[in-house]
Amino acid sequence: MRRIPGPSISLISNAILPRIRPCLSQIAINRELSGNAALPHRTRTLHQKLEGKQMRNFSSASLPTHIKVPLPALSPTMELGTIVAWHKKEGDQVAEGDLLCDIETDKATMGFETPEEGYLAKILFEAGTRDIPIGKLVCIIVSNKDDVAAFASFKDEQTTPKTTTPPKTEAKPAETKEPAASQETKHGAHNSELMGPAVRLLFHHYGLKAEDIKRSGPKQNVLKEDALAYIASKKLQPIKRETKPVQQAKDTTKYEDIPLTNIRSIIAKRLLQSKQTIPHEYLSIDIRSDKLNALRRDLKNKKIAVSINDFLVKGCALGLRAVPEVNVQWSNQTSVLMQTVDISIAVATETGLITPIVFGADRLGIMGISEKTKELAKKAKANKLAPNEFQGGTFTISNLGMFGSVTNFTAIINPPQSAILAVGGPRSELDEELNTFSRFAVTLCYDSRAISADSAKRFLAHLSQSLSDPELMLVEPLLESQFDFSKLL
Amino acid sequence: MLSVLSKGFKPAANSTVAAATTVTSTRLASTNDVNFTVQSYKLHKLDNGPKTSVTLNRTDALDFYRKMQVIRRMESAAGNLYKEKKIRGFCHLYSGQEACAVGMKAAMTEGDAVITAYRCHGWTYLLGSTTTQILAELTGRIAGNVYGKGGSMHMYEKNFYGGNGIVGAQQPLGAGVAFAMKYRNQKNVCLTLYGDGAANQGQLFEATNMAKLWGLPVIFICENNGFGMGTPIERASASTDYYTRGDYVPGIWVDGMDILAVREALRWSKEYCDAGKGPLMLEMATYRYHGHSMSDPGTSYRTRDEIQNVRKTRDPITGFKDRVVTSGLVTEDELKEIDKDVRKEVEEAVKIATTDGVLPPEALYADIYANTATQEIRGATIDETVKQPFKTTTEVLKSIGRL
Repeated sequence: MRRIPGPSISLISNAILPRIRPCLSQIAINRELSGNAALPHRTRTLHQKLEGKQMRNFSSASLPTHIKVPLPALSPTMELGTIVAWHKKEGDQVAEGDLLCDIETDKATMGFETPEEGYLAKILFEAGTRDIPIGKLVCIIVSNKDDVAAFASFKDEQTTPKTTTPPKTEAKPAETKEPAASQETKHGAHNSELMGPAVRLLFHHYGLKAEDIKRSGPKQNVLKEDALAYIASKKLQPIKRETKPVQQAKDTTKYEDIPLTNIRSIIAKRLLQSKQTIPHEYLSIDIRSDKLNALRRDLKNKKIAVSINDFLVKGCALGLRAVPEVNVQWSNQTSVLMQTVDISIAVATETGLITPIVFGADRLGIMGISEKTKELAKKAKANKLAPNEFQGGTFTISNLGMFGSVTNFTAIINPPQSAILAVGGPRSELDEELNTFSRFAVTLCYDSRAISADSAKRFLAHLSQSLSDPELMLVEPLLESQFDFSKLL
Repeated sequence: MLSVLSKGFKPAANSTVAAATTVTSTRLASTNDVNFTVQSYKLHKLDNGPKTSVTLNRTDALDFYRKMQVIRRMESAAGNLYKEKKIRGFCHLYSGQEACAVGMKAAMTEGDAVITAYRCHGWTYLLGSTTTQILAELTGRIAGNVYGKGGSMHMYEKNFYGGNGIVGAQQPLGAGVAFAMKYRNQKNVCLTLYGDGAANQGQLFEATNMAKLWGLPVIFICENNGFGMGTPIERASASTDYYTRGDYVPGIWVDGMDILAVREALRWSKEYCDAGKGPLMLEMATYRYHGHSMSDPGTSYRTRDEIQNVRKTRDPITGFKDRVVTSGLVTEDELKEIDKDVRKEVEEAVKIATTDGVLPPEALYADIYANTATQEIRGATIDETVKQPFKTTTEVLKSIGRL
């Protein structure tokens, strides 16, 4: 086809060419495309060499030259986009700077300006299509208005890796009446779906349709007043929806609940309170018990039955007298020195651990302590302890020595007391000269607000001395506390 | 023949061509120079300034039109490539400001230098690069202006000093280039371009002081497009008369959407500087259609209507087109031909830019120093030390057969 220079080309090109173009051979079309023969040959061969948009166009059903518009990446992180609305219809002219459509990205809804001038030939995704991948063909633009008709049934042949979800528009009223468990219409056509959460809830409860309601929102959206006014005017009732009862998972493990007795629940409460509010500190010491055992056997031979526990009580009582800083109670942010030494002894009964008190243990002899302890233990096991017999006390001893396998343990302080001595079981060991000796460990658990580590140490040292050498209980042993440190200065 | 053509000629729907038949007749009568009047300039500390009556010949008209169209198309192509994620990172487009660049280039002579910031694709084209080189540079391919190594911020040509990333960094550099010119007794100027956002940078005033003190042939040109990123000039500058900001340096305000005004202003300014009268500060009142960069839609701080309005009333290309067609210098069809040609050129450039290869990793170690022995480059660990395999990018290109 010979190219006619000058103005008359406009007549031919606009009127006749589109009709005869499909019939033209590819070469002629190329020549027409590359314009003037005056253009350097390089342009045409380069054009033919490189795979171009035009080449691809003609390989399929010989459509006229057109520009394929893929979904643009309007932000660097965008992967999918939703076409909210089209600003141009098929056949409209698009000029530089015109908006083609509004695209909702992961960040915001932005306008998409036309990449080319011309006429919008075909829209491939209608407004409301969600989650279109970047690069997917969304529309076709042609330079000549008459080419628009050729794209009436154009379909994008390239398959996408991801299938686009079908548009869910508000034009499906049945969906709003489905039970709560099933899917809700989330998005649809533009602005008919722009509604706040309160409005959405009303829609859900009353099964409303956006088209029926008068909108007064700034973006033609339904406001809460609109919805409420509609409900009031139609006197609607909320839709009853069937809610499936929540199914409890079947518990297949076998177990048995043991209800707490009153006393146990009180013990539990007090233990918890003690452990949580009192800052416990622990100091341990090993006490050699050979001499103590010898003495005990001796007394037994003399028909005086005393136990290690009784010695412990006496030792602790003397210790508390020697180191009165351990015989304190914490109240009003101060340690209050107690006047008497009343030692509680932990007794295990069926109903729980109870601590009957040996009042004035420092003034009782071993025998006295022994008798008292036995009497209290009997009463405790028979549940006949009077409240004043177990409420009070300034110090507690918890002895698990009879369960020989326990080497040492820590205990929880009984408030309002400030210390508890946890006594472990006896162990037989060899010393450096390979002589057998026996010892047991005691742990003083004390309230570190009321008692200092130094006092606790001195108490334990005193106790250890008293018990490893029981004769010293008759004589007040010389303690470090009696040493006048000021002499060192 | 003439009558047949005249009758057959139908002006396009949106053209402002008035008397179609008379146009064709005067074209054949071929007046080479046509007179135009441009908007008057505002002067600061100058008694006389550029003329408001300018002449334009046919060759120049076609040339200017083509150049402006190339820049416009190339920038749209860059924008589209960015949206297809073929260009990443920064991309600042010049659409709407073409008249400034083309007008200024028209007044430049051999040896004049230009330095600008990152909105430089148009300038790189005007000063010697092809559209392929520019678009390939943006996509990072070997065909690029600097082989894809730098993108917008790193484009160079002979007497074109970039392509600068830091805002306002080019202002003192431009004064320095002018200093070199004066030192060498060259009758040249250095056009130092910056935006309204960079006009408040301190180094501009330092550079202006030195330029005035030593009488350097530098023309500081503020391309005022009304917005510093998203900040309108009224919210950024205490004085929005950027041509007066030089204080003791004379200034001229120019309508930057009119290419003929720009050309005349630069021609006058070059004469002024060549005569050794010292620096000048120009302000081009222009407008950009796109956002500050591709990550800015450009509509959050101004309305789309405003942009459309400027496109309709003040667009440099359509304004120029209307003038030259009405005056009879060129015909609309010639311009349409140019449009088609430009479109093809840009499309080919896009193809190469999207299909070409990338430099091999060894290019990282090239072009470090100009005149040393082969360097040892330390890697992330001591074992990864590399001795420079190639010293210059030319060697790299030779090794892959691209040179």
